[in-house]
Amino acid sequence: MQDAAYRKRLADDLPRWLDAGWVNAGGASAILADVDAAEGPRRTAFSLSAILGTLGALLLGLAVIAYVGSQWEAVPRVLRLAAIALALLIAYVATFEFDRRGHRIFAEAGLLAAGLVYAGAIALVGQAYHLSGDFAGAVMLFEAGILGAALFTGSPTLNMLGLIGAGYWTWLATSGNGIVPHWPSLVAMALGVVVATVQRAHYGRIVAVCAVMFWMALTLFELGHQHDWSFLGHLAAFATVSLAVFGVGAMLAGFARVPRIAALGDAVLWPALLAVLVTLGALQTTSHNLRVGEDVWNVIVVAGAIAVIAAGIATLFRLLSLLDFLAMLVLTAGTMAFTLFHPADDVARNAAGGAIVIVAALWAIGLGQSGRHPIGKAFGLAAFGLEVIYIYVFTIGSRIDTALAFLIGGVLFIVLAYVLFRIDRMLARRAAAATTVADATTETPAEAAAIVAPPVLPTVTMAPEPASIPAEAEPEPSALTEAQAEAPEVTTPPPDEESSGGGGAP
Amino acid sequence: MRLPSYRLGVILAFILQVGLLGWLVADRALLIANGKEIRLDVVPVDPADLFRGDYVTLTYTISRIASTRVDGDNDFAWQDPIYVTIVQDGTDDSAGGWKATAISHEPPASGVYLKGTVRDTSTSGPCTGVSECTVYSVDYNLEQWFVPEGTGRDLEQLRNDQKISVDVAVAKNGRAALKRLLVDGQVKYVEGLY
Repeated sequence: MQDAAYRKRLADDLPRWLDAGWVNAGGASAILADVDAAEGPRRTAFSLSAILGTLGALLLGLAVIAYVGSQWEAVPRVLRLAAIALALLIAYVATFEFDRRGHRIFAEAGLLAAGLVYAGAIALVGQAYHLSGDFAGAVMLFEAGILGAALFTGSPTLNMLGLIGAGYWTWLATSGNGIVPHWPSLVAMALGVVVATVQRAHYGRIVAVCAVMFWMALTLFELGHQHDWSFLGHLAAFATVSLAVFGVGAMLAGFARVPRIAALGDAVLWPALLAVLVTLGALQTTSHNLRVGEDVWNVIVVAGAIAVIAAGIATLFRLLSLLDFLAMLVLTAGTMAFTLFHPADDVARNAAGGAIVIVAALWAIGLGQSGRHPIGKAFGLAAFGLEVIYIYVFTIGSRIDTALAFLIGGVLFIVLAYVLFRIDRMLARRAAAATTVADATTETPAEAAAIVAPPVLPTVTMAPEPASIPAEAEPEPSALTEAQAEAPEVTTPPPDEESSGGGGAP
Repeated sequence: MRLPSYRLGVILAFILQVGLLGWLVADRALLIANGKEIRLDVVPVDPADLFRGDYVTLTYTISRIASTRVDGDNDFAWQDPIYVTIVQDGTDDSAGGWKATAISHEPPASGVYLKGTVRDTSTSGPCTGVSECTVYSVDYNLEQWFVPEGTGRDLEQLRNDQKISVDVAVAKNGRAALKRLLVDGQVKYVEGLY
């Protein structure tokens, strides 16, 4: 991952840890050197020259395509064919040379150019040999060549090109020609997902996931168009499908035994979370009911069921917390109820829709806060802010109503904050108690804490080493200091800790 | 010397793509060389409509098929593959006059047939007054003839009474490729193998 921010944080933190005596000077520089070794080439490669090189390759490739498009009839056909094969060869030789000299990022740019030249070559051959009527055949040839090359080279760039091509294919077939569902482009995308999984490419996975979600969105949209779904039906279908995608992603993310699949699941989570927030936000704005007997309801029920079942399985295997599961259950049920009993009254509708969005936003913030999906916090806070603005601007039935809504919301939030604070403290106390048990049974403290500490609170896992924390630790009311403060008071562990200590690690 | 996998992959990727392109060209060359040659009549059109920029649009007598006039299946949907059996009155295959006699979802057991795609279905036109009739517009991937830029003038001067036809190579599986374009029986353009 191109994580320059991570290095910066390390560089900021290390002097403090050095002062505290946790690392020595040699260790600190070794840590930074290790990060540089792992991140270095790509970090520096993402400099301006690399971006310019990639853009240059893109322009060169597009130039070839445009040249082909501009009828190139002065030259005999066989020569044209030879010329385009030569262009392809040059792009690949350049790629080869760049990699030999250690410029991997320029090599990737070369592959991008080669991929575009290949597309141009298909267009040229089609035009020169009167084959251009067979568009699906041409796209299949493109996908086979690009995804195959991506697999051979392990190049995320080529995989993304293939996925973008597949997305374009979906768009032409589904939105352009009304073919729904369009399976061939989904198969191409599935291949792209497989290639990204094999490659272990971070951005490749995200592009692959986004491509599949793009396919789903277009398919739902076109289905809705053909079956005459209402706007409300469309949005409810989008929302439940997004929840289902999130649930399935959460399930995949727990495949600890196959790290590549777990990483794929991780890549699903944030685009799905974004889709959930956006669709729920749009849902509350709809003012028309479902039509009688609308068949979108089947989609909503199936997607909702998948969402709840997947989230349930993910929760059983401790990949989601119970709170996450409850949030998904509430959101799925809430979406269905909102769709079914769509309030006719503006204020009631906005209140119900707003409540759903705020639950979703809080859930996203919680996911972000747990440290597993840091981006969730940004999404959640943004969604919350937009929702507040929406309520303020659009529900001015009367100013008093709006004021009352905010008053109730404020009080509810403070109560919720207090409850969460108590739960935090309780969990911290249990974790600290578990540490004492672990000490007594001669297990290593770190293991015991890792087993007992709930995955939602990663800070608690730091608790088992109270001796190493200096006395002048900052007195903020964090879970860490709470744990220390409470630890001595606990003398007997709660009985259930014994059994849970033997359970599988999260 | 053992190559690092990335560079080996680059070589394989090049071979794959060139191979696919070569296959595309060779596949068509084989079809033209080995396919059965037939002559298809182009439906007379206003020459002004013939040109679409850099290519000629060709519509054949077998491009529109009324279900009442042929045997076989009659439940084609848009974008379905369709096999069109064609027969000719005379004995000379290259004399033209090929007509559609049957349409089906699967390749017929015998005879000359073309594989196409249903581009459009309608119940107007020749069907007027007849119930249970559909007219299928079929694409055979023979509808476009690219002409060298600027040389299309000859074709643009076509008169309405002149007759255009094309020679087509048909493979056993019904795929077809354009071979020659003729005006009033005179060869105007010839397609090479490569």
